[in-house]
Amino acid sequence: MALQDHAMAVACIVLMVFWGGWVSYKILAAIFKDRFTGVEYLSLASSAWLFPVFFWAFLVVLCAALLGWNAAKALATILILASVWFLFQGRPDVLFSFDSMLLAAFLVASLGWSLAFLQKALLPSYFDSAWHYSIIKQIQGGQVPLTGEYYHLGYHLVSAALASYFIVPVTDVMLVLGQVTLAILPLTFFFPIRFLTRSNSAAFFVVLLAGLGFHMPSHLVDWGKYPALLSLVSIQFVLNILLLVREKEFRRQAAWLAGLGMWLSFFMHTRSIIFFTSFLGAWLIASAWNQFSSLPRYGTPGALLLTLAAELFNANQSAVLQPLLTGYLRSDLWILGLVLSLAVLAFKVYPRSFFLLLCFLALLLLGMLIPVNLPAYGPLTLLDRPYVQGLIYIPLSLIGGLGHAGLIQELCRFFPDWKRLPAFLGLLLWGFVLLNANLHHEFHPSPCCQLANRDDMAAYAWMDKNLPPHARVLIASSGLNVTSFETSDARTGVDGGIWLTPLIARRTVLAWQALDFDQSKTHPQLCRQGVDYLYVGSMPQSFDSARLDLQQKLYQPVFSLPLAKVYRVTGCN
Amino acid sequence: MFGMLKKLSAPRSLLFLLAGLAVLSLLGWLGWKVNQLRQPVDPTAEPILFEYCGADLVDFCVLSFGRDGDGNTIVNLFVPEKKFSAFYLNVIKATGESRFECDKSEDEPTSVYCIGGPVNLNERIEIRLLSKRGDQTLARGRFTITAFLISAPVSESQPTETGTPEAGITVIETPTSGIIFQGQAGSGVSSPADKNEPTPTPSVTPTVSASYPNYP
Repeated sequence: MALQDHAMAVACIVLMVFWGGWVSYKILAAIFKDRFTGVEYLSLASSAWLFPVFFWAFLVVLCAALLGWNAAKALATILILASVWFLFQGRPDVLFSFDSMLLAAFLVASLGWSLAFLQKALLPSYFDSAWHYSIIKQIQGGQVPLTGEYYHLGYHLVSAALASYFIVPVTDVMLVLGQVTLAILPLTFFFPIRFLTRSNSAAFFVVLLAGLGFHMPSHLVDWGKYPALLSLVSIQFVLNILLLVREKEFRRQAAWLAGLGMWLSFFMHTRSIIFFTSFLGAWLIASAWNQFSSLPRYGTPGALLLTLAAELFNANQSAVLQPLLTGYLRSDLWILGLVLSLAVLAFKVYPRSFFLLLCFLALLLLGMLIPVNLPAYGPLTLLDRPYVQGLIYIPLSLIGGLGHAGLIQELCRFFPDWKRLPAFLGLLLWGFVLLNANLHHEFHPSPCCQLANRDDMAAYAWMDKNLPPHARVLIASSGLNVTSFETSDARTGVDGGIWLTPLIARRTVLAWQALDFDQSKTHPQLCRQGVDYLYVGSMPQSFDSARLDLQQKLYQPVFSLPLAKVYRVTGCN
Repeated sequence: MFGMLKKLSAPRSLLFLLAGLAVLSLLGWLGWKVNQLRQPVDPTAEPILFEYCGADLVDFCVLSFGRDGDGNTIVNLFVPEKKFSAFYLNVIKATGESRFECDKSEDEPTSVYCIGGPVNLNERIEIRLLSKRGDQTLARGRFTITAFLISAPVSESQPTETGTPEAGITVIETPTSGIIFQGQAGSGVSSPADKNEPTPTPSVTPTVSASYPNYP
């Protein structure tokens, strides 16, 4: 699809994100005054844009549920217009500096390569997206799903408000909001590294590293993990603000803001609370470690490395957890090598911060291995593998940034006369990350997870017109395996069939993807269960259409395109 | 002059200037778009030539051919948004002409499928796209249909479950509207508690393959 087809959604969402960032900047500047430079405020505001947007969306959806969408849209407009007066108060000149312009230029470039994803995206990827789409549509319809088993409501409220207010298709909002979030996220890394190291070069390096260095977080959109992606924004905000808790002058304000950020993260993705618990745990351990005398002080990181190795070994033994390792080793090997090399200097120059991040990494991996049994959900682990995979680029990037700053410091110590060394080094490392991105980074939707294609779209349109509203359609499914403890009964759709209910409101019945249609028992069972049609998509795990074609008396093909087929189940009477 | 420039380059003025420029650009773009949509189709214009779609979908093209249950032919088309108003296809074969009615996907307006009379394999056909208003030929292309049914490609990069369950059907119905609340982990999946009927146990246990795969 041409990029211009998303132009309206892009313009509206970028506008709202900028509005959110601007409002956040004004609030943060009112609290912290001259404590930060313009570029630091820009980075902080990049991690805080979600607050105003979320509160705006919350009020709009609430108003829509109580008074209808017309009143809600009026309220939405009033809220934005009322904020404009506030936005133009005070002095915006603090934002205008060479560094902030450089960071803004990065944002423009980042938007460019993130939006390239849209060029080849038809529907949001993977089965999660179909689920999110349904919830957003339901909120648009005036219902708020508040059952015990549902969470991550924040993302859906924001998407529903944006889609309804700007009259943009929900699929567009999902795709564009995801990509715009991805484009802004790297900017949020500038603040912590600048704050900890006072090095602009290292701070810009970590922005690039977080944006293009790893296959995460951009691969999250291939999994339709939009709530997790949006939670990363508030997670980054909390991490940034927690740095200020150490400053007496701003301790109280920072604690309040961090608490608010945690609440927002929880609303976006419940498991982010485990992330914060791990981070606070790592913080406490690192604080204690800082008090150690020399022997345990150097022995503990060794023990921590051994723990990390044991965790990784354990993960590698499990077929479900293994993709975490293969994901990083296959896509990000060169960058991992760079980060590991820089880690030595990070430890030398910033031992406490490095130890904290290492400890945090170990706790995150541990969260993936600790079982919990919740009555409503069955056996789970504290963190699931995809979420951990999406999170660990954060400590890795920060270690890379600290290492970069450490490298500059060490080299400047040895070569004090080389004034241009930081800039030269910065360019060298940026070049490395850019080269690696050019060779290994995926800018388009991954074929692993695009369940629906254009033949599927034609099939949906045909089915919508020709299938009775109460038709039951059998679709292929497989087990859901994201932790080591799931029961084999949890399953999910594996191809375009997953979109039948969200898009055309037809009932679907899940069956194992390897269902043997040659078996004599299969057809009577389908009849007993009232299955009217079978849907065969184009994924490797879709039903085998060749088998079905051999039994046309029982399964009559009624719609056949190369990559999407519909069969009618006949002979049931 | 310099004073004015200095005034303009003040951060506050610059901010207003940028905001004004952004609004003007947006209005200009919208105006251009509206004007583009209003432009009538030139009746003397030469019909566009089209063919099979390539990797990048930019221009009007044929995505695939297929069949429905009555033996009719389905043509799946990519139509750039707002490129053509309501249209139908006229398929010209050696034995005569056939009108194909077209319908587009509500969720993806660039995806249009048309259904009409049967076309034989290896038959050379000319497809003409005609506007419903005025029956004007807007595009045409020549095709030979070499195959209708192509098996879904099986990628080797993603492992498939090797077990052959006896009849592993679970009735986990999705409602006709709304969502599945019985899902697990917020992922739109089923959980054992949702079964309406007992699930037959697969005779062979499928091997575990992780959900959320990495890049192939």
